[in-house]
Amino acid sequence: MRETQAIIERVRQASADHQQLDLAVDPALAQLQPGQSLLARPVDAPITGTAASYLREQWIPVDVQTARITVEVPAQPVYAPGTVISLLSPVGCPIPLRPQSRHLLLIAEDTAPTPLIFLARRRLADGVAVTLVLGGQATGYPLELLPPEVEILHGETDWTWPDQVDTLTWADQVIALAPSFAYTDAYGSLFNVISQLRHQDIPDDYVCGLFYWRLACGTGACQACQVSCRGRDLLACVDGPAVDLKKVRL
Amino acid sequence: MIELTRTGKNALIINNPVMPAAGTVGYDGAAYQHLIDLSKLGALVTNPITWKSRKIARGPRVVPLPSGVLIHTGLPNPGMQQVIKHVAGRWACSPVPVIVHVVATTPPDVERCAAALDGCEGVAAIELGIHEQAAAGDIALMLQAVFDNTQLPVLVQLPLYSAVTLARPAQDAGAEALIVAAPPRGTTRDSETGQLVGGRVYGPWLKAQALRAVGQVSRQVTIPVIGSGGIHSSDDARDFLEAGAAAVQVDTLIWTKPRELEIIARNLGGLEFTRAAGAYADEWEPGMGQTMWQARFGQNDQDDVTPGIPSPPPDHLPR
Repeated sequence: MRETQAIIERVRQASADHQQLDLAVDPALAQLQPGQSLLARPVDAPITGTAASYLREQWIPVDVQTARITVEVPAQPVYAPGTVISLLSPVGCPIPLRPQSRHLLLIAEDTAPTPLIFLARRRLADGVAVTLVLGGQATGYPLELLPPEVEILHGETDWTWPDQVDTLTWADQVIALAPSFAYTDAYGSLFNVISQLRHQDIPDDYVCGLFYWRLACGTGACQACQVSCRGRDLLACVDGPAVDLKKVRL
Repeated sequence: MIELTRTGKNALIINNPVMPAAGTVGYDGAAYQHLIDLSKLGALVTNPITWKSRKIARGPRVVPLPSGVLIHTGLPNPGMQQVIKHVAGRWACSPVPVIVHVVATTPPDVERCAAALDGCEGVAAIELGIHEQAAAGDIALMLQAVFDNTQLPVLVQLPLYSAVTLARPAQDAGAEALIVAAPPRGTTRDSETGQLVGGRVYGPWLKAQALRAVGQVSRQVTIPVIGSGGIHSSDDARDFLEAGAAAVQVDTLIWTKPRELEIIARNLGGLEFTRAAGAYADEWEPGMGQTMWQARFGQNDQDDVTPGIPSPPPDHLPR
C-alpha cells in the first residue's frame, strides 16, 4: 500500500444520492483492478470537525484510465474541483475471476451497485456477457450510469428475481453485493439457493460476496473488517472485498 | 535514549519517545511498512493478544463520531501460540523493540502468555491491558502471573477513568511502567443499522482527559508513565511529555494520517530547525556530504564543502 496525492478534476452529480469524481492520479494507480479501492482524505481537511472528516473514506472506482480514476461516492459531503486528496491504495485484492468464464452474473440488493460497475466494464471489454440483477433499493439506481451493454434484471427484496434458475444456470460466475448489515442473511440465502441448484457442487470462486465493512485502518492492522471463514479468517480490506461464499461462515 | 524500565539485564530502552498504541499497526507493523519508516519509532506495540483465539464481534464494528470513531471489534486474534508461530520471526528482525500487548483476561491465561513469550527473540517487554472493572488486587494477581513465568519487563495499561486510583497499586505490584491510558468505552447509535453500539472511543477530544490523568499519575508514581489518548500532532505529544510522561503512544491518527506518526517521532526525536530546509530533523546534519545533499535537496548550496570539515548550516535555516 502506498500514499499518493490526487486532484479532483471534475465533479458530476450522478443522481440524487451519488456524485462522480474524476481524479487526476499517480499513473501507478492505473494498475487498480476491479475490487480494489482507495482510502481518501482531503489533504487540507482538519482532523476535527464533522464525523466524515475523521476516518478516511473508501472510494470505489467505476472507471480507471491512465492517470485518471473516476470514483462514485455519496452525494454528501460535496467535493469541489481542485481539491487535493491523499489516497492510500490499493485497498483489497482484485475480485477473483474464474478462467474461461463467459457469463457473469452480478447481483446488488438494497445497495447501490457502484462496486460492480468497474468489474462489469472490464469483463465486457474481455468479451464476457454480463447480467446485473438489481433488487430492493438498488432498483432506484439510475440505469444511465451503468454500461449500456449490461443486461439489467429487476428483482424482488428477498434475493429472488424472474428466471432465477435460468440465470443462475447460465452464469459461470456470480458476484453478489448486499448492504453491510445484511451480509449474513443475504449471502446465506443466495448461497442456499445456489447450493440446491448445483447439488452442493460449487466450484471455487463460483459465487463470491462483496464485503464492504466500514473501514477503520484499511491496511489489515485493526482487524475490524474481519470476515469469519472456515479455516483462516479473512480481512475484507486485505483479502477482500470479494470472498468465496463457500469459505464464509454464514 | 529513554529507559522505560529499571536498569538491568532486561531493561527496556527506547531511542525515541513515540510509539504506536496497541491495536493500531497490527502484530508486527507490516501493514504500515510502506507508509511509515518504522525504524524512526521508539517501539512497536502489537495488537492485543489473548491466550485463546477470539472471534470478531457481531454487528457494527466501526461507527464514526463527531471528531472521532467508536471501535467495537471484540479484540479478535488467533491466540498467542498462533501469533508467535506466524509473527515471532518478524519480531526478531524488528528495527525497534517490540512490546507485546497481552490482554489481562484471567491469571492462568496470562501465565501461559507470559511463558510463551519468555525467550521469544525480539520481544522487549509485555504490555498488560487491564480490564476497565479491574481492582488493585486484580492487577497484582495478573502481574504475579507474569513475573512467575518471565523476566521480561511489564508495562501496565490502565483504564482512563481508574488510572489515578490504580497507578500506585500497579507500581507497588511491580509494574515497570504505566500506560495512561486505554481509550474509554462509549455508546453511540450506528446510522447504518439504527442500533446502539458500545465500544472504545477515540479522537482528538480525548486528549484533555488523558493529559489530566497523565499529570495526576506521574505525580503519584516513580516509575515511567507513557501517555496515550487523543494525540494528533507533535504539539499534542509534547504536552504529554510536559505533563510528566516519559513517552507517548499514538492511536487512531495512524489510520487517518499514517505519515503523521513518523513526523511526530522525528520531531520529538531530533532537531527541528532543519524543517526550514524541507528536511526532517534526522535528514540533515552539519558536514553532510555534497553528494548526499544534492541527492536530497537538489543542486543548490553546499558547493564549497571541503571533505572532512563540517560546514555551517545553510543560510536559509534559522540558527
